[in-house]
Amino acid sequence: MYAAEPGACPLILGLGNPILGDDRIGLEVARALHARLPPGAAALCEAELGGMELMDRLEGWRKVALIDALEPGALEPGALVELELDDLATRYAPLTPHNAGLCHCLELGMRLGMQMPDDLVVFAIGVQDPYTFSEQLTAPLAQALPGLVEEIFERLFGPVGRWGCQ
Amino acid sequence: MKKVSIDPITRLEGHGKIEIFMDDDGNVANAYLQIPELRGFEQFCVGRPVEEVPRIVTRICGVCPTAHHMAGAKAVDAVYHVELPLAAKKIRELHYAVYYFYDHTLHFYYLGAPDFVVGPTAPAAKRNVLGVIEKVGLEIGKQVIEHRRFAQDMQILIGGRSTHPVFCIAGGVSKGLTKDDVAELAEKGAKCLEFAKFSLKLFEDVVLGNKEYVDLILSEPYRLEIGDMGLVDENNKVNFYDGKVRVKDASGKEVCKYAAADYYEHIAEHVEPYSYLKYPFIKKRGWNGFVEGADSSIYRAIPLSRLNAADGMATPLAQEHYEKMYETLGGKPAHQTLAIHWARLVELLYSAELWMEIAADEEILSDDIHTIPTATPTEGIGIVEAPRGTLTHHYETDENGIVTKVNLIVGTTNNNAPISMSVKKAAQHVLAGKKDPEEGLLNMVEMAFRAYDPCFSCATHSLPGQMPLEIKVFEADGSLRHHLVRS
Repeated sequence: MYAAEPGACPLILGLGNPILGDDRIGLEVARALHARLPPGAAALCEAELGGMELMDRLEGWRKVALIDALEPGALEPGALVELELDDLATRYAPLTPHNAGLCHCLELGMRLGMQMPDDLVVFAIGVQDPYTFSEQLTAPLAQALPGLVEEIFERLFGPVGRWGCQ
Repeated sequence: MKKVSIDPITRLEGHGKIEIFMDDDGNVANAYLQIPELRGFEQFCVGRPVEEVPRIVTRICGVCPTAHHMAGAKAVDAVYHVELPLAAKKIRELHYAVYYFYDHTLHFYYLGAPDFVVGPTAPAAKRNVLGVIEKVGLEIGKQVIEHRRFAQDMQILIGGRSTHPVFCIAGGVSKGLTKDDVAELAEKGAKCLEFAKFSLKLFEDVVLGNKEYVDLILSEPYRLEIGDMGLVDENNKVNFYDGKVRVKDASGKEVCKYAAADYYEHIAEHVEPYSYLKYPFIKKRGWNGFVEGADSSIYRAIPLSRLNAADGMATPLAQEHYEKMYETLGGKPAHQTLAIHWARLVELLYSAELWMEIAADEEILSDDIHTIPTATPTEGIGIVEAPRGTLTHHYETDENGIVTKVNLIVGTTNNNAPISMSVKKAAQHVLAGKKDPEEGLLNMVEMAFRAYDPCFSCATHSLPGQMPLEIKVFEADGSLRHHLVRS
């Protein structure tokens, strides 16, 4: 799952369901972004999960870039938005433990003394159809994929990127 | 007629939505559960080798992947007409007991406890696991995390992966256990058994020690007199992995008991015009509507149902607590919806005892863990008890083992009608005559829904990463009167 020990480098954390069409976009972008980087520049985790299990994946990493699909209708398919934690601040108590949000996981981890990331950025991608079982992206997402990878690469690892030139 | 809609706006866990229809006098007339449809699963599977399906089905649900893997594996065993070696069966059961411990721990501390430990009318911001930790102390919070991790590590040890196990194959398991593995399983199991005992003690102290909570559990709005379904062993004791499905009616009388292959003869599905949801019912009684009573053809499949449908627990400590639960609830069957949380803890204890029992069985060290299938594949049905209800997988293939048909009845589907009925009863009580339902009252309605630990998910997650709720109150003419957001 990981290509390096926790904390040694930034973690690229792709989230998604690989058999639910556009929901796999986070996994695909994370994988392509990691392949785009020099060896050892970042670790990759493709996480087909959510809720409290996300907390386990975050433990020990200082810098994390989380890449995920955004709920349909919130953004044009293929469009990218960069979110800070405040944008995701918990407004609601989880309805089930399986959908505890990212902020909830981070807060719980910190209160329990786990090492949670101190530099976390979320890249959310607009999707068209994450409801139909398929291993394929819809056309707009497939077309947007290379551009999304380059855009996130620049924002994270480019000359003026968040984590500098790697 | 006014409409109150409890409407999650994200896809996480699926878009479960509860619509409550109110009449002109401000009383609840009806309530329906709505779940959006995820499309094309059967088409996705058709044309694939059937042995791949148990690994695919772990992805259809982010909540019960292990249950799907087990039901799928049992269906594939049946497709290939193959019997498992004893060691393989026990290793599967061991893994499943560990998974149950993991899942029930998660549910109780993260979902059930906030309502009781923090309080049903506490502010939503406090009514979560962080609020629970604030109330019971950080040390218990750390214990929860630690024991959950023990169970997770042991699932990886047996199943290969934490969330999406891959070890069940047609006719057995792909990997056996070493003496070192078993020693670690026994060590972690002993700790988890102590933690299960502690969890029941906590429930007794915090919930049963509070008259207000006991009254709430026993109150009429949280009572639903319908039938119960659960898997039982040859002694009619609760079993998660194997046995026959037993269904009792609301009076506790056995209506049917059937092997997996016969499910179609005993269970049918009703469809309402307003929803694509299916409402399973006891076939020989016929569909007689959303009604309670001994004649009802509706049943539920939840931890409390498993205990109601069985004659007892197969392990000694769980049996003690089983007896204590029924004594407190006023006898068997128990129909108190909120007692599902208690039944879940009895099952938690059973899972830990079973874990220890199998870990002490030398048979699991055997190398004989796989029977190579030789028969021509045809059709197979696998049933297990998922934490959220009886789970049925039904596959058909051609003579080469290529899937031609798939049908699943998932745990929560069994509970579609009971959830709607429970929500309606709770809403009738807490919303009756109230023009502006308060957030705390809304939670009292949600408690009826949450007790089932419903799982609508075929997706793992989606940003913003949580399932918020909205309430919309509509006037009789359909216009929006109130729009409340639980925050």
